[in-house]
Amino acid sequence: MKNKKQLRRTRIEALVVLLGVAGYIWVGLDVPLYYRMPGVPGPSVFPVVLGIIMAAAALWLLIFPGEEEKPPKGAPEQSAWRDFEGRWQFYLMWGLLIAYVFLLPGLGFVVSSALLLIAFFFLLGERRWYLAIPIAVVFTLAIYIGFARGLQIRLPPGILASVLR
Amino acid sequence: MFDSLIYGFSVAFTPFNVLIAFTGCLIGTIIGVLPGLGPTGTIAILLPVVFSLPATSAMIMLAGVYYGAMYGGSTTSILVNIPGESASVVTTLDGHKMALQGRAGPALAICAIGSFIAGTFSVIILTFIGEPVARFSLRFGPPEFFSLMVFGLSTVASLTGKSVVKAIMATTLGLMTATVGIDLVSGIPRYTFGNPFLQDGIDFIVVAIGMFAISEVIITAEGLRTGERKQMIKAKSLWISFGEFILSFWSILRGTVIGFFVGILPGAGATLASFLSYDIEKRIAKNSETFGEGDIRGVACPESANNAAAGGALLPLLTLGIPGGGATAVMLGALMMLDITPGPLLFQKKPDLVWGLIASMYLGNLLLLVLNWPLVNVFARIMAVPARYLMPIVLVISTIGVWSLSYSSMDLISMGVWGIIGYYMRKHDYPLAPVLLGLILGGRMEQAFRQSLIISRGSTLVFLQRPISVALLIGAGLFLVLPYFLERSRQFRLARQAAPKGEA
Repeated sequence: MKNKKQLRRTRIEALVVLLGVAGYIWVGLDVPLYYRMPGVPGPSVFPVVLGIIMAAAALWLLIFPGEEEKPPKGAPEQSAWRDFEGRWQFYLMWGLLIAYVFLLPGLGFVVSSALLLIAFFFLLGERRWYLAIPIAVVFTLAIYIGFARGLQIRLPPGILASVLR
Repeated sequence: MFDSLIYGFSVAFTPFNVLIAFTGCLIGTIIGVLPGLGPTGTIAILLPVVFSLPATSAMIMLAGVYYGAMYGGSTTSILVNIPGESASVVTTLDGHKMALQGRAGPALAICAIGSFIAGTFSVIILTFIGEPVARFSLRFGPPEFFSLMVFGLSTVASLTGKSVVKAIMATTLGLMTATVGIDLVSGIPRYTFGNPFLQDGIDFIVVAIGMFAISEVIITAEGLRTGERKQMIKAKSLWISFGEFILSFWSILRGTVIGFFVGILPGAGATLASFLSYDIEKRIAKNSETFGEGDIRGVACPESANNAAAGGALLPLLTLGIPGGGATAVMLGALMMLDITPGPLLFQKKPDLVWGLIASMYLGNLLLLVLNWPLVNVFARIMAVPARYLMPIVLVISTIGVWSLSYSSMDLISMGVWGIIGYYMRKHDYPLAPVLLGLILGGRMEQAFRQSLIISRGSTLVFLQRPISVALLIGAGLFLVLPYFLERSRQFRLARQAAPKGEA
């Protein structure tokens, strides 16, 4: 059972999926065919079949998004991030995660991971900086030494290349 | 045959080989427990060490490492909701819920016990009925395989999540993702948009870590805010109770049988076995409404199945030279190290080696149980680490798993994108497990589909002309439709029961 807002969102999801599937099929049909033997299916066949299945499922959701439920009067909206501070934290966490995956190769594993850990420790409720910072630094270095030296995984040294070598 | 098995055990159970197997299990467990580093990665890291050993010992070490890493993968599924490898994806459904309830110890213990029982039974089944069953499995051609995978995916689509349509969409998303990269039949790149990094396709680890690890950090943050998730989860029990063991026992046996017979089919693998066994267990077990909410049977059954499948997969490996999954691919490498080519006559020509291999896998299972008896206590206590520290550290370690795949920032960015998709899907009741299963089976499924059409010269009737294939397709349809009708008939029955009361 869903409320009106959820039903509308489900329909929007279905529309987005339909658009995505249209693009997927279009690109799939555009795959070049260098040779063709009679009766042998080409590289577009399977993607097109999948696209049709996905489109059918999305159409179903668009037409039958679920049953509507009237929320009880005065019931609070169910979201962990509904207040301003929460929303700010939510977007900051995502921003940090995205920045981390982009900056890791250039900035280096130790610096980027230590910064990410400190930021997340604070965002997840740690207020004692004298604990959070040493734990983040010690763990990052321990992980770096364990993986890079112990397991021979090449972690990016980044701006600390001269120190870590 | 029994004498050969005894001889195999005498080869595997020398003090040196037991020590080697123990070391392999320990290293495998410790590395496998790091999220993102599954059995394949672990073995790749250890290959230089393995190749310096005598051939038989190398094979035994590989078996130990593989089982250790498999167990390590299940451990991350249970403790932090991140599947370490594909066969333990389904373990996240109940295993992590158990951990959040303070029952990580029993969940981890039943993994080790279930794996041991499954390993024992699969050796017994392999010994006595292995060869005739292997002959039967030869009847599985591409159309049967395609139908088996449709069957597997349809059961998954109907078992996870609240909406079957959303589960179908999740499964299809996984299959569509598997079409990215070089087409195995024609060699033409698809959906790569000229990017060379996409030519190898999208790796399971990238999707699994993105969808599970990244979304888990944000969901944990939400849980901490709303109070649904505690910072520290105190263990209620560190080892399994007798009652829990009895409750799981039949699930372990059923998982073993299903896992073995699915594993025996060349190319089916432990992942499909674990999903199928979970689904069947959920349907036939008593009080199955607790599945997905932290039911120990939901851990016992798939964990036994994936272990039994590893045993069953030895048959197509030894008789046909076809590895069914990760474990057997490693064993194939070991056999090649010994300069032995698998084939139908291997059982007659080299019985000592074949049974030595089977015995070494059994030894791996046994040592895993011995080793994890004390380790369960250690791993279960990880849940007592405050979530504000645990989850970010797990995320950083998971990122290393993704980075180590090809040392490319493309994988990291892809992980971030899958993280956003995974979070959205989790928040809006789209199940994640079918995406991963679709991704794993997609390539093989497409190959089977196209090979079938090549055989039939383009006629799709080929799937309906073979009895095994048609039976599997009917089964797939029933699995999708039956829950709907059963629910309707239950509502109808309840309405009929309620009607006289209402009139009275």
